[in-house]
Amino acid sequence: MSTTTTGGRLGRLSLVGVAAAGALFLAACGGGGSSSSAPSSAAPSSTSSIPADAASVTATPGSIQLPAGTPGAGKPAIVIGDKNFPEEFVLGELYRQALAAKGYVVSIKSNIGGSELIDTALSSNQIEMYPEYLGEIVTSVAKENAPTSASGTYQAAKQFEESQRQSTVLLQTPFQDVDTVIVPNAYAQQHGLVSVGDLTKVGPGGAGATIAGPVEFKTRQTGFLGMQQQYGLTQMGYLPVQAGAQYTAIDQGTAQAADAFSTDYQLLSNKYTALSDPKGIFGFQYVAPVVKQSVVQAEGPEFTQTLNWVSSLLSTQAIQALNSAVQGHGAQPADVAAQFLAANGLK
Amino acid sequence: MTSYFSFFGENAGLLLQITLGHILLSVVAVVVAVVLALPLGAWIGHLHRFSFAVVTVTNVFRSLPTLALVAIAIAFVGFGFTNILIALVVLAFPLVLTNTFTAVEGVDRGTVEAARGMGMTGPQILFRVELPSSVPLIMTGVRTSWVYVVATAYLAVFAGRTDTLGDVINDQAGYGYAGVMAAATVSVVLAFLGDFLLGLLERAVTPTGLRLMAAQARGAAVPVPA
Repeated sequence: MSTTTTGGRLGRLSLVGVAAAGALFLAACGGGGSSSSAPSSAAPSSTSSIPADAASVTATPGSIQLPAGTPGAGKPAIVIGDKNFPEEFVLGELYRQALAAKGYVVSIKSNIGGSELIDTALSSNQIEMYPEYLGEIVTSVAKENAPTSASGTYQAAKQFEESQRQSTVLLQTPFQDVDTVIVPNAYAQQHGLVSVGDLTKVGPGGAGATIAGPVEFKTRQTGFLGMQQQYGLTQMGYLPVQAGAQYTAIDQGTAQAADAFSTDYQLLSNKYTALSDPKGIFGFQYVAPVVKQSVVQAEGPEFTQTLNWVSSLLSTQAIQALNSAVQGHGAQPADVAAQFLAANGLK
Repeated sequence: MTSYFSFFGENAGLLLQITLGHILLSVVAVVVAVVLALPLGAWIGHLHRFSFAVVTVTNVFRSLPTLALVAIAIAFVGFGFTNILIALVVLAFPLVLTNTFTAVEGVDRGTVEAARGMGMTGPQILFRVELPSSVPLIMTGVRTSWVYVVATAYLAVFAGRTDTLGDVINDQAGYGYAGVMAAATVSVVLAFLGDFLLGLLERAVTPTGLRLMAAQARGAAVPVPA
């Protein structure tokens, strides 16, 4: 899928999407990453800022320079993989195209599967690198309990990859893709909602409010069950819906809150307020490239620097805009990634 | 992880609640489908007309994926009981309609002509001759639709309706494979149980003459049920 040229319909759509994406990430770059916008209008206010404890392991926007020239010339070829959903397709293409532009010989195996499957692909040497959500490494692959901080999650994931997979994780992205409770802006203002726990202001135990989400979110410790136990929302209603339909549910007023992903492009509409999760019950899902240690050695420091440079571009607003182009407007992940990298100075 | 058998004991309350909800939804869906399809099918079968239209429409209905109907209905009726009910009625309706129409249309022409010769009016022929003769085939349609509806009602969670076996079947992450298998087992049992009860109903409403004929056709060794 990486080299397909878009037909007329998709080509037109991708232009629309990429124009939107371009406007947004240019705006984000111009703002210098300052979080000066009001909490009620910022898309996911809880997730757009880099956690202080994990600052040293995050590819901070503007802190990493793209290596000059083509340092990859003459280096061994590398195979990248990505997982089985659109956001991963874009991430895979971003890393692949940046490496290719720097002279590395890269091929990509896209749409491999879920966390366990792609981990197997890595450990059996079918791929040598893939972008992964760090909380997923800890809970789904290493089968450990979710750490209670962003830095703890990063360290646990890195330790597992280094000790069990002869691999390592590079710097993590500024964005994370994690479950986020959203409410309509008017509802947040009416009841003074800032964090998930504030839903008890609606009624005792959250009575009178219903949250829409996938059926499995209801019984997860990192979901509605955790909300009941950690935030005391024992009287809140639950509306099971298909992924994507939770926005319809709160737009129609059937539910007052919804379980969304922090990178959902729908959050760009600024119609919704993301409630913060001060107790961290939903976990930490920042993204980092998982790479074989032998590959890191063989490809040299500019290889790592190129990947970290890509990661540093990926603010929450940027990934939402990229998702909007692909999922909202049907553009090809490869085209979207190419335009994004070009707009950020990749030659 | 809870084992399959212990899941029933440990979650008896939950299973009972969602089983009752599953039965409620399925019964309402089949009743609505029968109320809509039976008169229409009988009327068309009696007229011996519009069969092409009926076959076409029912085939279209049958080809609609239930999950797609649920998603589309969200825009019109929102989330909840009505949404999944509509999807299940669309599933059950063609089965009852086709069988009713085929049964009534297929009643022996000689029998119908004899009734007409005795001076029966059209409605009298329909209610006293055609429909009684059609009971076995109509009930086959109802029984099939029950099995389909029970087996599909787990999709209720995608329509925003809790309290069906789908709460567990769609949540492997929460209840494990043991839970999914347990709830699926209950669903299968419900399908067979309902089919059995409808079979009893079928016997009760089948005219004695038809039962005797069926018994004769099977051979004298088979006792005639009282």
